[in-house]
Amino acid sequence: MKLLTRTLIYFLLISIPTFVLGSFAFYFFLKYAMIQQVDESLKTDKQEIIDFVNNNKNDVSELYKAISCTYFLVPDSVYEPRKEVFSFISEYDSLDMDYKPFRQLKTSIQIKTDQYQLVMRESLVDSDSLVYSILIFAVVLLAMLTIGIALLNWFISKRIWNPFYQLLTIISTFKPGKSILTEIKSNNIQEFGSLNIAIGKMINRINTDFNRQKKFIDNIAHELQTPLAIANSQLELFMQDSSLNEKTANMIDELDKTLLKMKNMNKSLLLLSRIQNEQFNESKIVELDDIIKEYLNIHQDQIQMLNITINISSLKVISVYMNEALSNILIGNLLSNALKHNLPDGYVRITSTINTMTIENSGQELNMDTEELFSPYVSRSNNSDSLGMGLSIIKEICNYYNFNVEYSLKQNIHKIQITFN
Amino acid sequence: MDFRFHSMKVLVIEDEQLLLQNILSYLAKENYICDSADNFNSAFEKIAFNDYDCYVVDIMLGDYNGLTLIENLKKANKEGGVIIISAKNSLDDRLNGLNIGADDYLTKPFHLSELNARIKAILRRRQNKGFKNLVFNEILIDLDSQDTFVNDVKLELTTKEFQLLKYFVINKNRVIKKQSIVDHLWSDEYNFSSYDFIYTHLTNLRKKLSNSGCKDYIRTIYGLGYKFSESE
Repeated sequence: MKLLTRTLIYFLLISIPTFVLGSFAFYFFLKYAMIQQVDESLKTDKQEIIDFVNNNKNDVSELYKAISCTYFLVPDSVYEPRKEVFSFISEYDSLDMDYKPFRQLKTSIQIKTDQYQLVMRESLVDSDSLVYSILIFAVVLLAMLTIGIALLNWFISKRIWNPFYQLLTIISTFKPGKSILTEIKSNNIQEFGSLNIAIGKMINRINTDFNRQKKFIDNIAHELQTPLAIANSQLELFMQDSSLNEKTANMIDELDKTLLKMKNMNKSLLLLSRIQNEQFNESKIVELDDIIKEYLNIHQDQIQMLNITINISSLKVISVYMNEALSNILIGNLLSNALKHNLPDGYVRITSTINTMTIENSGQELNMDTEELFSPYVSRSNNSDSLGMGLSIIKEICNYYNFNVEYSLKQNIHKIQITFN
Repeated sequence: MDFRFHSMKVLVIEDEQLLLQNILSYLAKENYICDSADNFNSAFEKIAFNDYDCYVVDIMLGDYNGLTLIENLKKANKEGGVIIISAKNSLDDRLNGLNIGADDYLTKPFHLSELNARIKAILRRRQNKGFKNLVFNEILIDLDSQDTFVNDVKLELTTKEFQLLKYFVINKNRVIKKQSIVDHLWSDEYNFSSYDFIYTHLTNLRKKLSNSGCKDYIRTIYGLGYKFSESE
């Protein structure tokens, strides 16, 4: 949920109940005030009638002539001058053909010796319509105020949080070694200004570390080539020695195999660093299916020896725009992994669609996280030592071209799928 | 003894002493005159005052670039072939080297047997026609037509068998590592732990050679590799 949405929701959660309750409260208060008003006027009228009766001592007919408010007298047996009963009633209005609300006051009055019940009424039609008018006006005003404040709040928040979103874009598009910090407009908000500076420092530090590490790997890999060449040639000379016996020969063989592993690892490191240094710029349309067929052709001896069945019956033309050398390395690594980590009498199945290529092979189960598999620096068992390197080269090439690569392992079936964009 | 390369001159330019010594030791068995230089200046001098048939040049000579040496060679119209040995393995470096006139490019670390084969290929190019054959006793390999003869009878070999025999004869009397054969015959991208597939080709080659009356010169040196020689 966006920050602005959340602030708005909080605002509405508070303002809508306030608005509704406020409207009701306002309505009842207004209504109450109006009734008070009507009651007061009824009491005044009552007093007027009582005064008139007391002063003039006339009979009832005189009273009707003198006082003109709405009232009538009902003969009554009890006299309770203090009793005042207010109530709401509805009277049928024959003119409007509708019931109309009235406020009624019942009290006792004595004219001469006769006791009467005095019933006074005042119409509430006018006051009710006034209440409604005022209420509608107030509600509209309140609603406009709420909406206005909400909008204002939204605009202000948007403006205030703008530097935050700028920083967010910078961080989310950050690529180590590539991005540099751009100064954002912090709207003179101190916190965002500091955040900008802190992020800038962090980016610089990451870039420095990244470049240093890249350079280090590159240098070390290059520097290792010469000692490796020396060890390699020394060993080859040693092999020529005529005093060689089986024991020394085995030792030389072991040394040579270890050296070969180092050679390959170093080669992979060099390749990884060269991809990261973007030294494969020239691209063209390459047909991956041709490269696959060529690789399989070159390595048919090995495939035959391992007795691996290759199934490429549903291999379609895969045209990809990329560097030719990298396409060869990619296919080489994919296929050599599929062959090397296979089982005797196993199989490799290569299928493709317009933009995907899937290589599936039988193999041993691996007790490893598939994410970890792609890391070049994770230590692993002897047999799969080159798997990680191979996979990380595959991953690096795919990253370089924004290809999506997925690896899965189900019931000893290794499956790697590459989606080209 | 192969006298055809007699008095051929090879200059090895390499600033890493141990590697230089190893190369020279390996080449010592061949019948050419080997000279060496372990720094840019001495290499520059040797190139200026002598003519060689083959130059093996490390292009990273401390602070100097070996490519300059090759450029000088070409400017001075020296005829010898040039093999670059370099720790750099990018296509650009390779193309760069070949563009300024190098004949071959070998990436460190390399097999000495491979370097030997490359040097011989260069020297052979400088031979007169008719000498472009490899001979080992009753075996004759015509490199132009890619035909093999045993006692003047033509032998039908597959491409791999031919390459294998050629590599053996070039590196005769030496122990050749299995990995070196794999790198030479297939590609150096290949690093399977088992080399049994070489064995198939080797058995076939052996069978064809012995069927045509050739002696068995291929010897297995424990688990290490093979040696092509007359004596044990």
